[in-house]
Amino acid sequence: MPRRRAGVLLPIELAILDAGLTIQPREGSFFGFALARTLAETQGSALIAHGTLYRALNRMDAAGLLESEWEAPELAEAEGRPRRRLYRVTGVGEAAFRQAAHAEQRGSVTGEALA
Amino acid sequence: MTGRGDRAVERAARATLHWSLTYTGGLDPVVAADRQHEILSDLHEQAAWASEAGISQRAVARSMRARMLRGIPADLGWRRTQLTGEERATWSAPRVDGLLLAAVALIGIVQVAVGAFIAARQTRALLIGDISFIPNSAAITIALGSIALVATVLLWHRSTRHWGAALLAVTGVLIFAQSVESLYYLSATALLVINGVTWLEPAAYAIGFGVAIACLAGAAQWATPVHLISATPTRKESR
Repeated sequence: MPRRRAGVLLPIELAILDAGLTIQPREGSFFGFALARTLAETQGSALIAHGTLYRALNRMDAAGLLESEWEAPELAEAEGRPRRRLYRVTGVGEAAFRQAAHAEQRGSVTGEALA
Repeated sequence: MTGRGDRAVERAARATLHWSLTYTGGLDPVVAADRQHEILSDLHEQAAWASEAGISQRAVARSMRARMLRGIPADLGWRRTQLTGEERATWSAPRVDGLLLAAVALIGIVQVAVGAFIAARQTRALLIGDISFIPNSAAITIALGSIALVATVLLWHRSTRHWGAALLAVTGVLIFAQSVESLYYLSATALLVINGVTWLEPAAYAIGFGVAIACLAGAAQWATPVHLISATPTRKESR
C-alpha cells in the first residue's frame, strides 16, 4: 500500500477546503452535513460517505487545516436537534488551498502546510 | 411521507449508528463519543433537509445506507489511525475506482474464459463421441459464461458499469462450481481429481462467493452517477 507523502493534499481535502471557503464567509462556520450537501451540489455527485467525510475532517483538523468546536448545547436543544460540530478553515488551510490551486496550474498538487 | 418510509429512515439511521458504535469500540471514549455524536448530527440533518426538500423517505433511507456502506473502508482506516496514531496510506477515490474496475473486469474475463473452456471441451467430447449428451452443468456453465461476456461488455461504459458488476456477482457465485461439475463428465483427468478431492466443490463455491462480494462492491461503487471528487479546485486563486 502506498504511503501518503507529507505535504500532499488529497482531492477530497481540496474539495473540502473549497466548499468550506464557500460556506464560511456566509455562515461563519460549517458542519459535516452542510459540507456534504455543498460537495454534492458542486460536484454533481451523491452525498459523500460518512466515513470518507469525517475521516478527512478529522485528519484536516489534526493537521491544522481546519479548526473545530462543538456548538453550545443550549442552541441545539432550542432547535430540537443534536449538537453540531462546527468547522472553520484556518489561515493555514486557506494558504494550503491557494498554494494547491497555484500548483494545480503548474500540474502538481502539493501543500506545504501538511509537511 | 408514509409510516413505512419513516420506519425505513429510522432503520437506516439505527444501522448507521450501530455501525458507528461498532467501529469506535475500544477507542478513547472522548474520540469515540465525538464521532458518534457527529454521525448522529449528520443523520438528523440529512433527514431534516430531505424532509424540507420533499425527498421521499425511502430515498433518504437508501442514501443513508449507501453513505454508511461506502464509508466502511474509511471508517476502518480511521479506527486503525486512532489505535496506532499513524495515518497510513490513503487511497484517492479515482485510484480505488480504477483498481476495483480492473479487479471486476478481470473477474469477468476469467468467467468468460471458463465458459469458453467448457464449451470447447463439450464440443470436443461430442465430436469424438466421449459423450452423446450435454450435461446440465455444462449447459449452465456455457450460459453463465455468455452472460459474463455481456456483463463484461457492460463494464465498459460508466452508466452501465453497475449492471455489469451485479451480473458478474450472480454468474460468479455459480460458474466455478458448475464448471467443476461439468468437467466430471468432460474430462477423465478432472474425474479422477474430483473423486480424490472432496472439498473441490465447496472450494469452488467459496471462490464464487468471494468473487461475488468483489463484484457487489463494484456495483455499489458505481450505482450512483458520480463518486469521484474532482482533484481540480474550482475556486480561483484570486478569490
